[in-house]
Amino acid sequence: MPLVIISGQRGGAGATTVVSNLAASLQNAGEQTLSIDLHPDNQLCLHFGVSQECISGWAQAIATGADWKQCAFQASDGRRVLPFGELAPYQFKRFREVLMSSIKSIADTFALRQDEWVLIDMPVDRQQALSDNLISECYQAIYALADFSFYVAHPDLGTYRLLKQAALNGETLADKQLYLLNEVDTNSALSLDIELLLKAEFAAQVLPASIHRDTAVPEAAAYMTAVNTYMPSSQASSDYHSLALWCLGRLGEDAENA
Amino acid sequence: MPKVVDISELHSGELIPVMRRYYASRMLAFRGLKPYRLAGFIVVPLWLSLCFVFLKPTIAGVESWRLPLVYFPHINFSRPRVSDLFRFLIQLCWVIVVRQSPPARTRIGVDGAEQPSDEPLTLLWRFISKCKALLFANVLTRSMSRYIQQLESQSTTTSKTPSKKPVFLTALARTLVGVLLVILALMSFTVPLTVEDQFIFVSLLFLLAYALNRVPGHLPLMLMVGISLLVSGRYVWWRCTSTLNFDDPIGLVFGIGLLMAEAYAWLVMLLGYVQNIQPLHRGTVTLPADSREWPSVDIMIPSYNEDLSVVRATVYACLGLDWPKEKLHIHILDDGKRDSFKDFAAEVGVGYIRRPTNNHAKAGNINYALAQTSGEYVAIFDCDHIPTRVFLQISMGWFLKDPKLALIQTPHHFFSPDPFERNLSNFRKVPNEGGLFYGLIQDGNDLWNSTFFCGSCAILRRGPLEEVGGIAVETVTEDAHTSLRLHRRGYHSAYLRAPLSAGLATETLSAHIGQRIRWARGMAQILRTDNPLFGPGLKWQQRLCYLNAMLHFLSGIPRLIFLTAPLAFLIFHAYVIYAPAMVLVLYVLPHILHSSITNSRMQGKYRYSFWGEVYEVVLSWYIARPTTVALFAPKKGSFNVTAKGGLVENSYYDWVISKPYMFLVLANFIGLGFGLYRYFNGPENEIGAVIVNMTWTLYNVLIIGSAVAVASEMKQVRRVHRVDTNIPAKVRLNSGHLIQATVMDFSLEGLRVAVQDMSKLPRGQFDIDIILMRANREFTFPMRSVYTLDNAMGLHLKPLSTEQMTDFVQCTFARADTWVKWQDSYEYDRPMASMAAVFRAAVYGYRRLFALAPRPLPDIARWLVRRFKYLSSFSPRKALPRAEQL
Repeated sequence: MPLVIISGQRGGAGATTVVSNLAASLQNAGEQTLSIDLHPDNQLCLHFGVSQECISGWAQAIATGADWKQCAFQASDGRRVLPFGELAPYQFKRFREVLMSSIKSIADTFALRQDEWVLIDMPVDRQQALSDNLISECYQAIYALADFSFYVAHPDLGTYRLLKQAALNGETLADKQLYLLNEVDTNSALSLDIELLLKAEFAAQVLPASIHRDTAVPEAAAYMTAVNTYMPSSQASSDYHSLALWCLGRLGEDAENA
Repeated sequence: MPKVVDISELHSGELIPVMRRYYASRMLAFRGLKPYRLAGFIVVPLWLSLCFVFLKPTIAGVESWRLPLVYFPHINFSRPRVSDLFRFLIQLCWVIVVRQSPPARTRIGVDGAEQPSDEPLTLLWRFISKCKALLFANVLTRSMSRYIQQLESQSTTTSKTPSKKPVFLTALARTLVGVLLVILALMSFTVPLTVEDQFIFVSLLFLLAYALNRVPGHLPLMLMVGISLLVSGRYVWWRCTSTLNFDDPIGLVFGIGLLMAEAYAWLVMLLGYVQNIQPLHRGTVTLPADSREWPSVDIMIPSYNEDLSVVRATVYACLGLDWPKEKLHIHILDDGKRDSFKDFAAEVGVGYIRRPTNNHAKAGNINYALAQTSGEYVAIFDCDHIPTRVFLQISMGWFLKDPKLALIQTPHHFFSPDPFERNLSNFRKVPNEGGLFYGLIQDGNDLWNSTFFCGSCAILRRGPLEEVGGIAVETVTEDAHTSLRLHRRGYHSAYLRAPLSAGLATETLSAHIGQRIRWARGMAQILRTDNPLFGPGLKWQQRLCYLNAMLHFLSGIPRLIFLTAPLAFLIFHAYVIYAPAMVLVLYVLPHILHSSITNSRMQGKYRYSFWGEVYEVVLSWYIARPTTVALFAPKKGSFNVTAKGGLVENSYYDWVISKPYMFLVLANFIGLGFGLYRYFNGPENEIGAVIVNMTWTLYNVLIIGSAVAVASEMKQVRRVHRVDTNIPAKVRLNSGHLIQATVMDFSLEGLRVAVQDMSKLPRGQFDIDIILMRANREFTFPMRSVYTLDNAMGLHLKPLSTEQMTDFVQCTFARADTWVKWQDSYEYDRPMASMAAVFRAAVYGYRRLFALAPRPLPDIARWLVRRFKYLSSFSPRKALPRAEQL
């Protein structure tokens, strides 16, 4: 089944929220999902209603030698989540050592999931910003398995410049890597215009479905649930629904071609 | 749905609760609104027990205990009455004899082959389908339809290649064939036949036409036209030669009157066939990619007494047109000399032209503006027609392609119901009066290069327009007259059948009729002062097209004659048609049938059968006088402005309008009374004539009833006209919530939205943003709430800038997808269904009429309706299981 990597273009872009809500929309469309948190901050599970006191997770498990496959939770709407887990500083060292050897088998396990969508909340930094290069290098192995990777970005000048710069430098994204515009602000002409510009100028790299800025999204997170459960009539809920439909259509097509 | 109980698994101790559940749940399903009666307590459990013991669980896909509910939907078994016994027996016979599920009739394919259906048929249906197959799927009809289709495909493939023969030879051959055809036609019109021969002849022709009607394509239609002409020609010849009684002066006078009316109808039918035989569906021509090559356009919005709010929407929509700004000049031509218009024009930055005089109304207004402006093209919009942004880009291409082209006309589409549609409540269900003209006739005209200018939603080339002296001022229909002059100078015209603009329909029936009176008078004026049959410059096809348009408006007197002709016999005993009833039927019936099925096929999508007559009857009385006056004294009469955007003050019956119809209703009912008297007391040999005339009168009563229904106006509450719609939108609250919503209606002042989840809305009045989408862009408009209901709220626009207003109009009025249903989405005409619709309209009309009549009549009418309803409750119903009963 499809494996989608979601990461922020920079911190705070809302990747974790997107993972949770996209999972909810896919679930709503009749698919089983498994969201995996690769982020040492261990924030994703909060969106699934997992208590903050819960420390178990896959990283914590491999660091302590437990079975990481036992650490998943299922939210009330059926979404499954595999948290990162809370690591104490002394465990972190151990985690890094084990990760090198086990990441391959873990990633393969994800990729071979037959009956569910795997959504991966990837830490922001793909190049160097992570202080811990070793971890991000390990994570690179997962990119090879992904059907899609989404970079969550705000429709602002910075995003436009980055994309433009990349285009000028001749860097191209692989065709399975796409920008997802998050928090499009209908009250700001700039935001709307940049969204329009990005979609027109980088049509191949920007997802046609974008997510509006909607107070319902942080409110849903505060209620530890997804926005389509919290407020189904909100625009954000409909945006995530469109995004889920896009994913289904696109990956269904790929499956047919294969 | 309760589960079916399987008794084999029951233990004896559980039997009683299970049985109780079995009865309780099923008896609940039989219960109506009111509780059970004693008889119901006997009947229903009896049936349930019977079916529990003897029947298998499901029969014909329905759970067997539900069978009465499905097959006797009109009987309430929980409260049976004695009369229900008869209903039951009638329905039982009906269910047994007539099949109930609709599909799987004998289908006969396009090649005439019978396609077997494997569903079981009842006896009656099997017989009918056998007959059908024998008639239409026999070797003869099959080979005929195959041959015709072959011919048609050949002609479409070979017509492109030019013939190798010299031109004069083909021309000679054509003339010869034409002459031969005319001789043959005259012969077949005039050959006298005995009654039996005529019967065989018309039956064969009818079968042929009926078979042709099943063959798709254009050639069968032309053949049907031919047959229709043949039959009608015979009828006219017979009428002229053998139905006038020169010994009876009264009958002769009436007879000649009727004959003239029939000759008129025949001529209009003939011209209609010529006009619509092959409508040209013109496509679009793309403009050059470089917008610097696009010509400059003056947009003129003439206004006289319309409200500023009406004009504003049009101006904003024009500001949003996709055209280079420096080449687009918008002018408000204000004949009302109002400063508010001047201020508005200055505010939004469009031109404002006011002239010192007021002569020649709209034509004079435009002509004055022509002298003040200089664009290469002139687009004219009545102030209540709102163009979509693509209007110019789609239509201007033809001008650049064809340098002789002087006029492009686009349809007048209305997003509000016209009085007919409003009063009959059939908006978007039945094509309206304009549907035929803009859907078919103008396309038919376009083939012969004789598209008329319709005064609005059109573009003219300035050069030719100035060459003919601007808009014609001599008649009150300046538009058609102008295009006639352009055609006389050899310029071309084009019709683009795409709804590129929309407007408000006239509000009241009186205004609507007033507008038609003006058109009728103007057309009669042109017929007198600038007759298209004579004068230079026109091809014969153009002459015929113009003639037909003008004749159409002369229909008043002939229609009145048709409405009263049978009364001449029934009341005054004057033999209007001096012929035996049987022979009359043999001649007139084929004439009517053939022209109906041919027209139904030709106009199916644009005008439903019988509705044209309803429209004509409403207008006939009012246009009869002005057209006659204009024919004799064309200089008389003034321009009256069509009032739009008005308000029907209170729901009233338009007595003034319907007075002539009262008279006609009364006369026809008296005629029916006389007819009954003659039927029972008249001489034996007259009974046929009485029956024929009474059938005719009944038909007239039906049509007049629909006309009466039109005249009952309904109330319209709002000052600003609102357009009903269904556009998705979002609302944005001050808290930052974005909620999905649907715009239910809009006006220039505000809109009404339905919001799915009202829980986040603040109380009282609040500010809110509406976000509308157009072409994947989002536009935000600040609003203030006016009222909040359960799931809808009324919003009022806050003051916006000109640019924002333009966007608002673009997102609402000027978006093409709000005009949900235009002509192409109408279903094809089904004459019987259309007849039923006219009948319902007539019943409605008479009910309204009697409800408002003086005292004893309403009670009588109510009593009659009650009796009728009681009797019709016995009639069998179509029994189809609903989804939840399966």
